[in-house]
Amino acid sequence: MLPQMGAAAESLSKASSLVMRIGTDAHLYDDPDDVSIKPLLESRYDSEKVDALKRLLALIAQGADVSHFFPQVVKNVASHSLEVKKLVYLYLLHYAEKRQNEALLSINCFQKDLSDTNPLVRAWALRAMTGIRLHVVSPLILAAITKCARDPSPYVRKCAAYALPKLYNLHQEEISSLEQLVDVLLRDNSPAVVGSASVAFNAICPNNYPLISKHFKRLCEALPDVEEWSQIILIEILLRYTVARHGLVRESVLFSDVTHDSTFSSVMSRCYVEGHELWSGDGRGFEEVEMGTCKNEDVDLLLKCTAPLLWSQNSAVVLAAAGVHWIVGPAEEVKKIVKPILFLLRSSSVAKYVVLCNILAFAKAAPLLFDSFYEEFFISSSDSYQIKTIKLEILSTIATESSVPFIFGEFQDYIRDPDRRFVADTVAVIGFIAKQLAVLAGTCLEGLLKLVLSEPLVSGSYQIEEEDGVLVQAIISIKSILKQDPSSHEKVIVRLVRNLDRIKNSASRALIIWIFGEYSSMGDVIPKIAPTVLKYLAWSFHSDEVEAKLQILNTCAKVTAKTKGNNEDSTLFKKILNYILQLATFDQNYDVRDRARFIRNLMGNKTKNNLDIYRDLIESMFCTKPASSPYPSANIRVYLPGSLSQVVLHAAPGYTPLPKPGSAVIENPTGLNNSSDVDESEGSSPQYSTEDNRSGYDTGTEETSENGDYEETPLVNISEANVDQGQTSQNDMSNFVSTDLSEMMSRTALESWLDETPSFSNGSFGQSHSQNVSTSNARVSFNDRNFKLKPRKSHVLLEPANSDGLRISYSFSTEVSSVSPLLVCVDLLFENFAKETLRNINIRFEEASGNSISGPTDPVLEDSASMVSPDKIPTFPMEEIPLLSPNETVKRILQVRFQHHLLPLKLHILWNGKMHLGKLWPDIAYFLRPLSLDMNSFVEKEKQLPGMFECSRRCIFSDHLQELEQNEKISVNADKSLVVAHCFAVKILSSSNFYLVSMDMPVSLKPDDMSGLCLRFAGEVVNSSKPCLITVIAHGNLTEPLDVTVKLNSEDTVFGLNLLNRLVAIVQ
Amino acid sequence: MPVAASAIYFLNLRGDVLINRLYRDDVGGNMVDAFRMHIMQTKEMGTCPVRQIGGCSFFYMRISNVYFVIVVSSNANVACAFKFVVEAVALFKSYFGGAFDEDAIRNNFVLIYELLDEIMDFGYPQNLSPEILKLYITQEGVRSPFSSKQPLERAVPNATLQVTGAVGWRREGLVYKKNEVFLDIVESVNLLMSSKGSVLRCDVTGKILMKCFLSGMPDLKLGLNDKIGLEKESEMKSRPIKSGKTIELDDVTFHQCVNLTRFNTEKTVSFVPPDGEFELMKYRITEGVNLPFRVLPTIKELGRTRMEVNVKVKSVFGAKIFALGVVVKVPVPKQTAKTSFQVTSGKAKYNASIDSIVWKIRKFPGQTEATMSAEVELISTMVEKKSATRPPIQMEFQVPMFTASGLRVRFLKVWEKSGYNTVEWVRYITRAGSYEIRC
Repeated sequence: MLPQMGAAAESLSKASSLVMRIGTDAHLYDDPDDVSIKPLLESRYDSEKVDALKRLLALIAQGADVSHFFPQVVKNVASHSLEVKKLVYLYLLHYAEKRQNEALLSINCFQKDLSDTNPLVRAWALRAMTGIRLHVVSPLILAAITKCARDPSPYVRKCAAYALPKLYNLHQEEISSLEQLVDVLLRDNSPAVVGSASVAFNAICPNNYPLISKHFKRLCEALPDVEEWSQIILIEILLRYTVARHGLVRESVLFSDVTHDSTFSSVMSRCYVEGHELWSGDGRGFEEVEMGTCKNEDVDLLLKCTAPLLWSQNSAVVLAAAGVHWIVGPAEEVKKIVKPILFLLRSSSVAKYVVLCNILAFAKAAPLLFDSFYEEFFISSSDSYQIKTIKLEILSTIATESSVPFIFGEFQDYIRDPDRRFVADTVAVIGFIAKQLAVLAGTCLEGLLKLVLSEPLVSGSYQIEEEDGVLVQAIISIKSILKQDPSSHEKVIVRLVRNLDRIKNSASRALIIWIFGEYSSMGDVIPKIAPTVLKYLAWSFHSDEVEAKLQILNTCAKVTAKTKGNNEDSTLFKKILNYILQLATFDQNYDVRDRARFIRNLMGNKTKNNLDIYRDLIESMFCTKPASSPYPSANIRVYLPGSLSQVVLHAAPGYTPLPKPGSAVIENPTGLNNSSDVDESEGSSPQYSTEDNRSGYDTGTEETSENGDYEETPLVNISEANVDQGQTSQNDMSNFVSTDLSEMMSRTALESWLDETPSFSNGSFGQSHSQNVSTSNARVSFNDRNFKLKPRKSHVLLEPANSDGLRISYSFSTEVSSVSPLLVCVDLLFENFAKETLRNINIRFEEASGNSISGPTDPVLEDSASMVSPDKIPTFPMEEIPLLSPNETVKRILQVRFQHHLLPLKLHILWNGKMHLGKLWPDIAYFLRPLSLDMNSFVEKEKQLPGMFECSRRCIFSDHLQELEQNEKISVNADKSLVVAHCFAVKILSSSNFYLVSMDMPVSLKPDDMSGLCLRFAGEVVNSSKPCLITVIAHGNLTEPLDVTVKLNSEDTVFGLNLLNRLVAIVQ
Repeated sequence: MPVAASAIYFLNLRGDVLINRLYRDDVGGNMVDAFRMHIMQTKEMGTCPVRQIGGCSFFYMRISNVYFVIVVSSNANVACAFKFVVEAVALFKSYFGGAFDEDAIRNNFVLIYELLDEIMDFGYPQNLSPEILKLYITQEGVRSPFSSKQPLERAVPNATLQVTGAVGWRREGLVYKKNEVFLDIVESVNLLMSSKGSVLRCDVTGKILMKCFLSGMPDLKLGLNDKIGLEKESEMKSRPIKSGKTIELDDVTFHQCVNLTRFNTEKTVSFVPPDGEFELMKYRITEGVNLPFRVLPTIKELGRTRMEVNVKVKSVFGAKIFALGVVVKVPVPKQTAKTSFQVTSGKAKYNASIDSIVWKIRKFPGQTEATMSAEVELISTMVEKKSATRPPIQMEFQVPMFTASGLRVRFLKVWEKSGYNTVEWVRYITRAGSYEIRC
């Protein structure tokens, strides 16, 4: 209000605040603990209860855990005082999830409150009930919402609508009944309720277009009256529906000629529809996509209803409405959005940032829309650096020949800004604009040159780095302008070179030297000054820094190579080059020395005939650029206007692009047939699924709706699905309209408790257990098991050196022996390195201590394998290789029975009648058969193997670092944690014979945090057929080596321990 | 999905949590630590209002000595989030009676919890209109004694709700003994002038603030001297435009209560106002701006350690009105050692913390001029920093009963069933927005 009033009020309120302070809650906030809270809670007086509850809230606010008061607080939920009730609800919401059992006590009270006469009490009860998030009571909540959705008070109905997403979040079943509720609420008379219903729609079934199609017209008309926050959502829903139903609009700005840069706008439209990840970057147009026109009734209506919203006070609404016009509006009318969006720049500075981000995207696609408003993007001194850079980028995109003089006039001032970082950006933008508008190149160059030469180069003062940044940026800009048309700017180069001595910054020197070298043979003046310049460079070489030295070497080589003929210049150049090379050879820096040697070899030994080749070589070699301008970013990233993704320029979780144009086919747009809607929805109930049979046999059955609110009777299909229809519909009905809550609770509650059990008794392994519970919502499991395994490690059985050139290598195979489950398969690879053919190659097992191969077994094995007599399973001899010609390789599979999982097996290798001894070392990781288990049975089995059957070890895993590095090069967008998990699984699977049961990835708060990555493997020990379970849990940050805990559960403990050691070795 | 905020935090400048409210369980409680670690303790603070740490995004805004932080775990509508913050702060202010700072939060923490429960449900913003919220809220804010005048019967929360669908921002059954409407037209002038005195950029952003104490469900219609509205009117009544100044509103936005469809077709501002204080509309004007002040600076550098600053300020509004609280800030180099002034009116002093000479004039009559001449002595430093980077002179002022745009309220009509008489009060004031003169 008016200032003098305000000032007076301020001084008075200051005076009075001392007095007032006694009446405030501040003392409660500051020392909430100074009295005992418990007796207060049990007091008979509401005022004392209120006091106690306020203290509890203060403690909650300060981060203390006061959940132990839960029982006392819950009792007060029955209070009649609204204030107490409200405070109790606030407390309950905070702790209900922690104290589930006690929270159940409050449910009764909520139920009672739901039928209170005061709508406020009803609404609060519903909100608190849905807010406490108890899985057990979700059926009750559904019933409560169903009831409240038909409440006479719009406030309660609104609460019911907002309760739907909460329930959905808690319990993602029974979607069809939730959808029906959304339908009921969308039909509401009160715009506020419709708005809330659209929020629920968006959360529950955002792709249920048939549902929108029923209400489209009404929704559009209600749009201006809906609450502003819901308007944003409703606009988005309507836009998505329109695009899905009618396709993109051909007349829209995305496809029209208004756009300056047609490739950008086509990329933009593709990005809108397909999302960034899917867009493969090829230049395909939108031929295959169905396109509508704005003549369409729906599109027209949507545009008409969103147009007034451009004057809304809520910037988000304006942006959303502008987005609709941008995407489906005809190009001629898109101008409408420009002024309203620009006006948004007048709001708070944070909003400014967001709006500018969106304008930038618009401006890139259609610069002509904004070109006359360039003044809006002039920088004011209060702008933050981020805002300044965005404004500069916008200016650079919308600059036209008519506006550029004014823009450059502004830039004159920016260049004197104290923030040198910003100056450097300005200089970069000048270069960019000059490149786009060739007419201006001359003036720009002049200005930049002046800047370069006028900079206080001698200053050794503060900000020196930023100052240098400006200088370097200026020269880069000059360079990029020169590149367009070097011959006409000869003088610029000359002037730059002449000032070389004044410029001390090595990066700038390197750049200028490069420019000189690049254009040294061009024009009239430069070749004339070349000898002098080279002499200067030779003189300054020793005092230059590495960067400049390298460029001097390059430039000299370039100039020398480019001089044709054998005049005195060329001899001079050669002399200088030799001199510099001489200097460089003894430089302290490796790179300089290397470069010198390289050039010397290249230039030095040229004979007459290969002269040209060398020249070409040199020329093509020295075309490397010393630095490239970071501006403008080449990759285009566009997201839907108004989204977070557009601001941060990558797809935020939950970002969904527009639906595929024309993807929604709505059979019966009038929407009288309920069954078609359910068909589209995800959780369609079975009785609706056979839609083809609908035609002749439809029978209308009345749904026994409580209030009889349905104007239409849903058509239920009676055909083959007759039998199960009875059951399901009954089931459905009872969930939907059941009034007998207690009965329902007992049944469903029991079920959900039963469901719950495994996850709680989950594991004896403390860590995995807590991880499961605490991050149960944020965990991703993978069923994708298509791993590209690395080749298995092969060992050498026989070296060619001491065996006439025969080489035998072996690797353990993951195959299960066809003969006996006790055998392990080994792949043998025979290679002949000799010049002669080898004959009769065979392998026999040594009969240790006179027994058969399958003779005495070690004690561990003996008792485990006692049921199957070892003698009955002979080791299968290998098939003999009659001939192995030179350089031939032959593969054989050997089925071996290892007697011990650590001791080697001795073999006789026979060839050409000779015999050689060999040892086959076992790999314990392959003494397993994959055991295919699902998650639940894994957990079950794990539970049976506690205590002494369990062992674990920790180790470090660092393989993924390399993998990540490689991945970085290939794709930027790959999910790093996925890569790590993958890398992990591959590592273990490619050197052992396990079955990957599950791979759980944490969805963590920090992207690099891998804590909680959990892989489970299962196998069966070959000898004993006992299950062996592996759980691998990783901790730490993915950019660093991970701390890994490997846990093994197996009855065969000795084997288990050895296996564990082996696994740790594999992992490390 | 628009804002589906997962949590809201209020932090003080040290990073202590004053209030926290979790709306969804998809972010952990330690997110606030992440915010403290990665945003508050880095230089980036205050530059970019949207930051992503881990899978979460933080939208934050600083209001006096409090950070208002929204944590969002998925793609959200950023503009909506910030609008929510702005509105919420305005709401809190209306409850606390002015300031929104750490003390106010401590004093009202129970109220804030209750409000947070009402204005956001499961992360979705709700109705933020203070008048309606008063129906739901049991706690009373600690207000300054200058709270707006109360309707005769105070709303009792227990009363049956009468929030009808038609007007979500006004409840029924309000009765005032005296029906009054206050209109304040507040304009701020933004100017950027070159050192040579040519206007580089100039515009006026204005807002019309309204305070309604009206009974029943009144229907209001506002007439301004804007060009489009007048043309439309004359067209409809088929009579020529009356002479007199008309102005062209470039951009307008309206409060939710204004019937936009009607504005779209008839160009009239008609609405059912909420009870109490609200901002009816905002507008902007770029042409025909009457600048209230002209500033003519001359800065001379006398050698390495001395400079002379002369600033002349001329008021160019009507002689009968006064400008109040005129402040001229003339930036001087960092290494200023000593300053001496001569002023024709007001007081000048050197403020080292903002490196400028601050010249204050409490009352500045129209059609007059004032000058200040200052001598500045500098510490001679080793490094000679070129004075090329001199920030602009800034100016602050308020001119009551003056509009830089020339906007005038032509009429304000009130219709109500009962046909009571209303008293309308209109005030105008022009302030400096960013009023900068390069030198």
